[in-house]
Amino acid sequence: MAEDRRTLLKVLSGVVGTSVVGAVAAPALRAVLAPVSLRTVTGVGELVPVVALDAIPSDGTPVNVPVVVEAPMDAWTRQPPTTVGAVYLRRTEAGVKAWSSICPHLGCGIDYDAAAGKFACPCHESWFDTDGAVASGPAPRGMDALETRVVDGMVQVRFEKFKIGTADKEPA
Amino acid sequence: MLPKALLDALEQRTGYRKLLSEALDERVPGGASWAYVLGSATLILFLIQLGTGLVLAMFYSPSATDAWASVAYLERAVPAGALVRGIHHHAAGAMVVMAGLHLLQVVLWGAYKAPREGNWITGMMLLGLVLSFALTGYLLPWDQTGYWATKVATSIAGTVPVVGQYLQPIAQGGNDYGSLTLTRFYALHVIAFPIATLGLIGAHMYFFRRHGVTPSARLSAEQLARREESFWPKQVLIDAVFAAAVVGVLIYVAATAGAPLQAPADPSSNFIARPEWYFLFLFQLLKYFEGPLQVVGTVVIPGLASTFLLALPFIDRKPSRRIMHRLPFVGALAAGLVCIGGLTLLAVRHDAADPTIHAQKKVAAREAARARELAAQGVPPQGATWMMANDPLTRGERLFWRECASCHTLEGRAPKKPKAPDLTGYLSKAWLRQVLRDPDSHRLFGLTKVEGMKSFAKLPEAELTQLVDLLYQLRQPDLPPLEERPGAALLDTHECTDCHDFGEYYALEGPALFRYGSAEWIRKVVDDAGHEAFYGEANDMPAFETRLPEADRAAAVAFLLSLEGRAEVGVWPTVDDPGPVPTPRVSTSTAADRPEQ
Repeated sequence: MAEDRRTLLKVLSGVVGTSVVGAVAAPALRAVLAPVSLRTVTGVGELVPVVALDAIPSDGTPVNVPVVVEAPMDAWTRQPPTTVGAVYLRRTEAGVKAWSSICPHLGCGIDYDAAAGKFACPCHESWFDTDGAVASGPAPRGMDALETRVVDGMVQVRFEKFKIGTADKEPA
Repeated sequence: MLPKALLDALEQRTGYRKLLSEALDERVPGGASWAYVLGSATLILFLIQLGTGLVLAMFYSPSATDAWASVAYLERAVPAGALVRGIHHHAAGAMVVMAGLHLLQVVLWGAYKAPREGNWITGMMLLGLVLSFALTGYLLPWDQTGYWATKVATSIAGTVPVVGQYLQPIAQGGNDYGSLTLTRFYALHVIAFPIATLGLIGAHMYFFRRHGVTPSARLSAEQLARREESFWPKQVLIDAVFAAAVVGVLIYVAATAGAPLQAPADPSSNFIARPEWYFLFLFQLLKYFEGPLQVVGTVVIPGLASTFLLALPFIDRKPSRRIMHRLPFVGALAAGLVCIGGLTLLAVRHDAADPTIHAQKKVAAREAARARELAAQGVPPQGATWMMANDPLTRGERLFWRECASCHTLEGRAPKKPKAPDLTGYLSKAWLRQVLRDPDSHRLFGLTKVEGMKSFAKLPEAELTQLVDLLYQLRQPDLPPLEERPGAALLDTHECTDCHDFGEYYALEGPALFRYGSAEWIRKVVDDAGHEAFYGEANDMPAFETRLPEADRAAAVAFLLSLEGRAEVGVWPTVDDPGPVPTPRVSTSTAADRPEQ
């Protein structure tokens, strides 16, 4: 009988103790895990005007232009115009094409080698054709193409970041 | 349940069973009791503070520009962020209560006596840490209350004779409040104090285990031995049930009341600082010592009281733990408690009876709400204080109390001698209606040299309403021309147009009502109400054009335009019942009475 009572007390202790811990841990974890659903930094993923159409060479040579977002939010701060990244723009017969300058291999910044007429990532020597496809090197996929639009003579780009190191282009 | 073999293997490698038995099988003389819950509850609250504090630290930025904004962000945008902060805030108060009750019980039961001096001294140091946590944590949101209340505390450090001049800069991390004050308080609050507390808790527990619980002095040795049982499970369950009750109340309060967040700290404001309720008695004590005696209230009395407490086991050396045998000491403690309670009550009652404090609280609440509204749009990199200083509404309101409130009444706050119309609900339909009904009322132009407009109080209700609507629409640019609007003829019928120009800013008998009530019209009146197109010779209001910079005048207009929509507008009294004359504002510390900045 006394042993039953002791067991009951033990179980009750466990239940009450766990509830106390759970009651505080639940909101704490909810807040810690908030970034899963919280959009803390804005500016990336929006159509942003980057350069005048006239400034892109008509011979098809790519140009590197920074992407400047007017008033991005970083958590609580509304930032002044901020450079969030860079894109390569190139005129083609089908219009202006844009690629992220972030190498899909391991995230380095890609150069354009004018002499070779190819994009080159200096970190691990991935080479890309002017249409962004992998020419040689370790890159698992071609350069990430971005959506562009021309409005009133200004080229707009939807600057996005993608998962690094995968064969498929997936949103980061 | 894990298989026994696995547990055996674990035991072999860690010796966890011995450890557990060491921790749980402690003998409790006299048996488990509800009397022993206070220490464990304080410990559990501390663990809750560690957990919730860690979460807060993930979202907090200790810099003068970012601190407030980061807290506002946690409150607004992070799921359960406000709840976690509420728990942390109220658990701090609960810790003070629990530690205080624990102390009280130890004194009543004589548990501080030899050989438990170590328990007592580590316990007192822990109490000091609990209060230090509270003091440093109060500043971290960098809001008005935290800033000003903490400023009082560090200023007190500065008044300590001889060492004060060094203490203050050390405490505040520089020659004045700034980012380095925050980083210092933050480092103390989240690194130094927790480590010190954990160490002292270890020592406190060690002493506790060494000497065991102090059972009630009324139980005989035989009774104690007969009822003795082990700590686990009954005492654990009792502790857990009490902790559950405390945490239940804590979460309820945190969820319903949340943690306060005033407007961002503003060094130029005259915020009435009050410490947390558990420091109110010290705050009240300050009021009784003037001039050079101040240090008596700030340092000497609290210092003597703390020293007395700390030395208690060495002063009260008789072995008996019976209260009747220790009357002088228990009596001194009781007297101390009565003083603390009495001083707290005096402080609360004083504030409750002071209309200035009520008025300031209203302004503070509005500024806090406005700051959070603005912060939802993102705080500029210059910081939350800058954001508020450049918000036209906030700036305009501060200007109003400084520049306008010495003549104009607003929302029940009247100057000593009102000289101009009450601007409560200025330019709202209710206000316009009252101007039409009783322009010479003691709350309107009856206070000024402006006179000669007849009362429309006897007008049929429908016509009065139509006139009010017409006047109200004058500020709206996109409506059809005046003469095409319904009831426009009333302006002629009732001879409004004889004295007021509705087509341009032109002087007739009365002020031009062209675009009346628009930002443009208000701005012209603010700039120069004595201009011939407005009140001319009858005007007594300063021409702010020459008195205030452009940004201030624009802010004032924004504020005046907002008066119509404020909650305090209420209902205007009728002509038949002119309502009470607003009571003069108590003029100790409102912005209106301060010299120009």
